Amino acid sequence: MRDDLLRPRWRVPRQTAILPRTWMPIAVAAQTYVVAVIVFLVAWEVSSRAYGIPLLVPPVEVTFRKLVQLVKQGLLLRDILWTTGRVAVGFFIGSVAGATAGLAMGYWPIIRRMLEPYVNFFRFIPALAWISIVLLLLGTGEVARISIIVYTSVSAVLINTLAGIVSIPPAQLRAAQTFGANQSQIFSRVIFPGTVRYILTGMRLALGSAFMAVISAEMLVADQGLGFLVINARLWMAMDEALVGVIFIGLLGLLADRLFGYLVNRYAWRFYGGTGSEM
Amino acid sequence: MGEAIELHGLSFRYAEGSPWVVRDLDLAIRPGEFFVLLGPSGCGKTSVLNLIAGFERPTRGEVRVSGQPVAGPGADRAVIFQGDDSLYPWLTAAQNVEFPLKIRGMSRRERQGLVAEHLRLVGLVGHEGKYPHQLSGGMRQRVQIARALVVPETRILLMDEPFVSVDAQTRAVLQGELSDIWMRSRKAVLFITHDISEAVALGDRVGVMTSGPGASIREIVGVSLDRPRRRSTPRFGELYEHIWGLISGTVAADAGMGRGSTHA
Repeated sequence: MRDDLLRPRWRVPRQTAILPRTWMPIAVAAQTYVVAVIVFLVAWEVSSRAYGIPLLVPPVEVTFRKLVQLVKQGLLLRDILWTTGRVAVGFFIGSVAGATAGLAMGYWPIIRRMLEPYVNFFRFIPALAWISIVLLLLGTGEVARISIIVYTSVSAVLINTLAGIVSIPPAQLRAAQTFGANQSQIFSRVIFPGTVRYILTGMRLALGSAFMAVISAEMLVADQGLGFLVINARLWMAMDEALVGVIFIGLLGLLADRLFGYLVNRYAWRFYGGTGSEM
Repeated sequence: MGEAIELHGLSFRYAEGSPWVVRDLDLAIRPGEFFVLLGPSGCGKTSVLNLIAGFERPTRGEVRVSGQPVAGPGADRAVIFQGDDSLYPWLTAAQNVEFPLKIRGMSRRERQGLVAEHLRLVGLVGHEGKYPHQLSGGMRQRVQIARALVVPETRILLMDEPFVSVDAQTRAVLQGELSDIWMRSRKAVLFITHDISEAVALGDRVGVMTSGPGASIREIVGVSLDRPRRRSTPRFGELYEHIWGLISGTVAADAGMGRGSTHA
């Protein structure tokens, strides 16, 4: 009798043997995604029909056919590669520059005092505000577009790096001093590792603004890239094409963010001191 | 042989015109001695330790370690910090202990031997590969102690309320282990605490500080009890009461309560 009372009233589902254990969370996550995508597509289709003008709000099927056509022509892949390439180069240069400047400013108070007003001055000027000046100075080539991305990436990385240096516990620096560490050892073995997680947070933010910047730059001046795809579609009033472009900008950003989070969790987890990277 | 640590007329304040944190402090700590500096919070104990460690410069007076004036932090004086954030969170327990040896460019083989030896000394065998956040508060302080002792040049341990943030049972265990380690290593220890029974349990001598600002030492109490020490003995209780009398007198007098004589 007592055994009956102690037995749980509902049974915990047993691990199904369809997938190996480590794959289960992925399968569950995939389910959620599939549901979310279906809900989105249904809502789209309903809005399209309710609006009634397929030219302005194209139905899912029309947009999908456009997507297939763009893929077949190789245009979509070309634009994705261009946009990705620009983001990658600009984001990389911007992150290295931002982290370097941030570390230098954090380490040498004099550099910090000199540069701090400039950081907060440029931080509030959006990349787009520079575009006329950049185009006149650097022309309409890749250099101009990439420098816009570099510009937006730098400040997020720089400010976070600086915040990271300031937050290093003084006891960590003092301990290194008592061990007889010289300045360059303190920098490479305490300050830099202690700042890594902040640099990565800055880079993640910078990744988002890099996408914003590249699309704007491509819309204003480019012959390829997803931004160009969207702005070009407007000229031909090809709403379906514009939608394909917009969706792929989002997908590309999502993918980049997930990839970044994956790499951080895989290779940089030890810099998070057990608090988790939240990526 | 000279004293391990000498303080001559030591005075310290952060800036011209700000109140004195430490004032006219004279003290000599012998080689191999376990000296406890006891006083209420905010009385300037940590400042004394920072001055000896070389993190701060005396405003007036002098700090000498093994006869030499202190010019800055050095490997002869290891510091055990109060909190546990002096450990490097991106390094494992073993890598934290290895850190000072890497700094000195010691070869890999030498390092491994010393690290294993000192992790064994503080009872951390089996926890070598854990990161600080995976260790308990007591274990983290053990890592700090191992990391301090592993440096061959260490002659003096400066301990700033190292067990203040661990639970009472763990603290008693750590105190016992520290006593054992100290008896074997015979390095001079300056141990800072506000806990009277901790002071009596550990110290050869206990320097009772006046409360700040402008603190100095009110009286040095010799603790001639055999080790390992038991708190239940009458002599332990007498010493506790005597020191409590000094401290409560200090606190009451400074609070303007006029408790008469503070010297027992």
